Amino acid sequence: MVKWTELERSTVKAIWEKIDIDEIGSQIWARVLIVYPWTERYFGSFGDLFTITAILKNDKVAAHGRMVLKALDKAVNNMDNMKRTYADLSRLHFQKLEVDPDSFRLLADCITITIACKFKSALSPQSQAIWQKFISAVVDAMSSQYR
Amino acid sequence: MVEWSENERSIISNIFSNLDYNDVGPKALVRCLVVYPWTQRYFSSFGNLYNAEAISTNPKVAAHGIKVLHGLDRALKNLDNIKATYAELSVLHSEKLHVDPDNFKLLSDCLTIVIAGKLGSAFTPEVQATFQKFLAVVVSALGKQYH
Repeated sequence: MVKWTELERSTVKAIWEKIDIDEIGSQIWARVLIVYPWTERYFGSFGDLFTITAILKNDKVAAHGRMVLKALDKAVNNMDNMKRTYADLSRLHFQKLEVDPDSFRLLADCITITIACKFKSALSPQSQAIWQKFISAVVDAMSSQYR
Repeated sequence: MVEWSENERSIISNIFSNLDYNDVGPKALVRCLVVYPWTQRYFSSFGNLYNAEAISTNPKVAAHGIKVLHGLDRALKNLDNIKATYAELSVLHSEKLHVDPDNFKLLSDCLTIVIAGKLGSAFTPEVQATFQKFLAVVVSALGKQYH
């Protein structure tokens, strides 16, 4: 189990409280699909992902980003129990969606970058370190049911 | 050889032409030392690196950050020949400095976060993709002479 100090807990919560799920959520997938184009393989049902403009305007991409951030809320509220919190989602991504677990790390990086763009210098080095510890724990939990 | 479109060349050139090296260089290295603390092992001659505040105000860290960022100028001016451009620096980091080449990626990730923080919404997914491609080529070139 990952150990969290009081400072880490309060920093993660403080960052999370400032995140507008609609605003940040709509950007995270666009970044993943544009920066790591092979991830488009998972979104065959999303329609036009053929150009950067299409990806940026695609409503399903934006909605999926919001959905992922809402799921991240569970981690913020269950920091001591992430593996159990994400066990079902992990199994789903492994068995049904057949998602390469490396993709979780790519998405985590894009979430961090989107936050950095929004928060600018308010995402201090210490805050970045804590946020990355948090999001790595989420990535581990999402990978935990893969065999 | 890596191919660069006209659009990619101008995106990269724009990022660097608006860059304050004296600000961004130190910030990137500080983040690396704070977020990935094992990297401090390479800087034992830099004095006080005991906590984030000390690292942020350490003048040797700042100076080295500026130096590293200017090192990227070489890649910028030789986009079509980055591997050869960094051959000597790669040998230096491998044979003299004994730097684990994994660390190049860590520093490049921190630089990406600093640039994202500076540019905010101007760090679009497309700009991110281009900048990450540029840094990936540099990182690969720096690792090329390792054996």
